[in-house]
Amino acid sequence: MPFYKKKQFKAIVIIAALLIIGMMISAISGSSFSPESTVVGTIFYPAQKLASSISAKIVAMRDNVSGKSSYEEELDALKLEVAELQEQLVDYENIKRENNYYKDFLEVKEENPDFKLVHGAIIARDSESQYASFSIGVGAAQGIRVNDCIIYGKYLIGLVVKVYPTSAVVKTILDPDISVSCYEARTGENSYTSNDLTLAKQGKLMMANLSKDTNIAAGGIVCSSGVGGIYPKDLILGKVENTQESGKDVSYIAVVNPQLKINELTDVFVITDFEGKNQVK
Amino acid sequence: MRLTKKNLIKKHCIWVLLICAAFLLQTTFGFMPHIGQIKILPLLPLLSCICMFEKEKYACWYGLFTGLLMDVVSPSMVGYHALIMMLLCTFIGWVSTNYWRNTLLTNLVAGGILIFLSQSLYWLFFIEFKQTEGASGIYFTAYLPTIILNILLVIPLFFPVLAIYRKFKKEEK
Repeated sequence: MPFYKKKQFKAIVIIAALLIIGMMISAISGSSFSPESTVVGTIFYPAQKLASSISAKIVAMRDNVSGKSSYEEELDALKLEVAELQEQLVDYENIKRENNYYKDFLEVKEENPDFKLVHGAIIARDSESQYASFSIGVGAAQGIRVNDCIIYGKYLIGLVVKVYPTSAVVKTILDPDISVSCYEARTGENSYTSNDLTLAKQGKLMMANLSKDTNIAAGGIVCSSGVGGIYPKDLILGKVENTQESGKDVSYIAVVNPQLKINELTDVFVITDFEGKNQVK
Repeated sequence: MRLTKKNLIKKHCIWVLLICAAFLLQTTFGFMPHIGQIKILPLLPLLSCICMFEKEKYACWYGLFTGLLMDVVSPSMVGYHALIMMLLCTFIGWVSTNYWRNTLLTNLVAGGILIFLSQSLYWLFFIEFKQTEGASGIYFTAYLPTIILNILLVIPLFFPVLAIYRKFKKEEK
């Protein structure tokens, strides 16, 4: 049978005819695509989408392999630099804090040349105490004795109550057992400190046994008076927040805020000796 | 069947190290979270779990050791915690050896006894008897919630202690 009579030839002719007709239609209509291309595109769109996504992934993988290693090196170098800078920043902050800390104590030492000071780090806190008691890392070996007072800058913090060879336990001024003879700087009124659990919870203490017509007002500074020979004179206990009735008797109290968070301190100084120590005035 | 001497020493060293670690966590500022005055005290629940797995003669020593550690940082009377912990731990060790099966429930009860009594007696002797103002209130706002929270802490601590105990139990000859 001649080729031009076979079915395959006829099929080719029909397809060619359809293509030509489609081209003529698109030429006449002015559109950029022909009907058959539209049909082909519609039929093969899912396959094309799949193929293009696979292709994109392969390209990305190739780029990653070639380009990622250089980016990673750069990133690692930058991370190292950031870590070094952060370390320097931490060192700077620590040195700045230490500098401020020692500056405060230098002022205390300059104002009170008779003070003998021993530096102690706070090493532990009593978890059962409601008054922020803590232990310091210096003890009898460093010359610490029971009833040595603890300061932070110009602030009185507490009193040593137990001494071991290399550590000591401190009760803070928030403890009702620690009673400091004190005066208010503006009015000169004398009294002593005391406390209750409500104020201790807030980190405050009280100046107790004030008379009804006390002139102590908010903003006044309460300092140790030095009476009794245990605490040096003029150590700051805190600032008066308000005065109120004591509730137990007819006297008044002044609520005193120590101005620093005793339970967040990390370092303190111990006054092991001062002029007038153990001398009752 | 008894543990060899070497394994016995190992086991006791592990208990001591765990107690020391819990003590450090409890007394170092910033490690243990707290909600107001409600504190997490991992030392007591751990101690109760350990004492439940030991006879009274060992529980007594653990109680004494833990009490001495607590005395070192506490401004209260020297020896107070050592005495209280020793007595309570001896009781727990004796009860667990002779009467109680060692389960999570009995550990909770033992932990409850230890924590409740140690905290309540501390409050009684060092706050209430001193007639500090606000003493009664603080028991309900601080001590009782702390007791309840730390009794619950027995649950996560029981399983590691049990695992260590079982490991040494397998090595008995």
